[in-house]
Amino acid sequence: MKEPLIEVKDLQIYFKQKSSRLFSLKSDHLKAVDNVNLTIQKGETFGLVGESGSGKSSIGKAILRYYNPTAGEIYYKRTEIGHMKEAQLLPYRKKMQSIFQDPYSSLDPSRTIREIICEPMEIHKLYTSAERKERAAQLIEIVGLKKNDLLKYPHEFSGGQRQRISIARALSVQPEFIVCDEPISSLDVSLQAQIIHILEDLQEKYGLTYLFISHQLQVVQKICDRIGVLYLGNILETAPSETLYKNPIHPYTQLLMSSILFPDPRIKTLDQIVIDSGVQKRVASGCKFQNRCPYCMEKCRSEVPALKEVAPEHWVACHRYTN
Amino acid sequence: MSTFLEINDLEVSFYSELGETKAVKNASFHIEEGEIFGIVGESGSGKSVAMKSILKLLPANSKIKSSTVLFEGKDILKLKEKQLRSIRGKDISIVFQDSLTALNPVYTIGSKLIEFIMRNHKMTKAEAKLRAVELLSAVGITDPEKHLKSYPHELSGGMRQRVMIAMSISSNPKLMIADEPTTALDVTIQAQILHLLRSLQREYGMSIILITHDLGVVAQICSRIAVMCGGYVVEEGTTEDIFYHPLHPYTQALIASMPKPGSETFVPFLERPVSDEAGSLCPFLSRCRYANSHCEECLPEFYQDNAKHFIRCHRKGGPL
Repeated sequence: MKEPLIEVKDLQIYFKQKSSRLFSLKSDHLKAVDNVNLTIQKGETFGLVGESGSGKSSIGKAILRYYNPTAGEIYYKRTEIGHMKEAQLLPYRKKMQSIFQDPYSSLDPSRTIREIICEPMEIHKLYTSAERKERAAQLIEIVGLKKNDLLKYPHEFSGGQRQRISIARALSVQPEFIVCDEPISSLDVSLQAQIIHILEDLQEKYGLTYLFISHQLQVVQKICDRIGVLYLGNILETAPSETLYKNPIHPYTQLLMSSILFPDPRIKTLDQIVIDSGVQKRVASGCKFQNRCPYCMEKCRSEVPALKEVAPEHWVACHRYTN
Repeated sequence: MSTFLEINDLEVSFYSELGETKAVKNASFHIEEGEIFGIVGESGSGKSVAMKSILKLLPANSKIKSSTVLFEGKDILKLKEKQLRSIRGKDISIVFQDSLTALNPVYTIGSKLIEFIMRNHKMTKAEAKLRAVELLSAVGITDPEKHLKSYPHELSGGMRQRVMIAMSISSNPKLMIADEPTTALDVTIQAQILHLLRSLQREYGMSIILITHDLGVVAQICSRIAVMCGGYVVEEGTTEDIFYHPLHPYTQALIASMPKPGSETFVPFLERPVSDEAGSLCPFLSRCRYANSHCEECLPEFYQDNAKHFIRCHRKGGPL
């Protein structure tokens, strides 16, 4: 019973940039996201991985409508929300919440934890004031903190605890979909596992759907059902995480996989790492990965490869697999 | 291999309006010549502070107490600022995590690098420029002459980190301290920088102290590791020993909680320690599943498991 919750079709996000030429009035565009298609099923965790600048956060923010997409459509349960007006959008904003990477800047330092957790409910005019307080008390316990923490301020908490508060805030309006933008990247390993456990528990309890954005492939591979690999605004490969880990097909995914350093001194991964130029260069035509690809062909420079299904649910955008 | 840096009972405190905060309570370890030594620990475990105190790079409200840091037999902590300057940046160099704040944004890469070389080596500007080009190509920057004229913001994170490394090897240091050199970088770039560090270490025969919280990094590149927790070194040993025979419960938990690629699931880790300000007990006490009444009485002494393996734990590696 697969039911798509989020569908993204031909999404483009371009940012205006000043032209690099001194007196030119024409502005350039930075193509942060270029023709991205993806579907997130209800109740699954979809992972987006890629290096910095690949556009993974931009996609997340566009789905949440923090950015307006330049072109393309975003569907939430088959309703197009990508170009919806703000007033109509409010009920959808309630259904979609976010957790960000930096737990230090994502919580207002001048407000108490109770105010922070209650704010989304106030915006969406949910519950009475007394009910909100009660709900805040429930939520703070769900994420593993204590009731008397509600009167404290964000600076009194550590990074992991703040991330728990962010989760409680996101849950306050009973969302169906949460964008987790690098929620554990700034935490110590000991805390990473804890936050992941909370997220997994909540998913089971409330049937949540996650878009999990991260640059740590070994983390994404563990908690996601399906993964999309993003490079300079294009999805190069999507597959169930098990398949992607065992059988990465795209040269870029292979490069990412080989760069994972095993926490095991007997497996010498560093010796086998393929050293490439590592320079991300935006190209005018053809495959985005062409300058770093060891198998680059004539065709790759002129034609953008389309995503093709090479095995069930395993899609790859590479000319080597088009036949 | 011989020991050439020895740190004994290092204690560092910070003073503020709220009183004294002990960042490093007791750290002792030694570095051998030509090895890559890893220091791992969570944030706040005192790993960076311990290393910065070696070069006295700490802010004015800090104090180093009753310790010795022997570098080639000399106690660095007793040196005067002027004598220290001849070691800092020359014999011992340091590479920081955030290369964007470590480089001055209003100067070009070249002007900083050349100034640094001229000052340390009494070269003329032309000689220093040649050396700068040589160094940039040694760290794998293509077209070094062009990049001498670049400003820090024009380079990518990986390139900036290479420039930092070039600067730090310019005086052929005997020891390089790398404080989370790859944490801010993408995985593919991280692999490149580590590759570079290892080849430089082999080529110049220098020692490297690598401070990181990433066990994947230390497993791949370090020959010995010290594990820090709450201001103490709780375990020290060869990489093989630390990963395959961890004896301290903290190290065991740390290794178990590391996300490994593959199908194994995450292992939850215990809650962060309640910091024990007095520092008279084991820093892992509140989280340790083996803790007993003996642990609540006194701080464990260092216990030696084999010639190169030390732990600070009452269990002495066995069941209690």
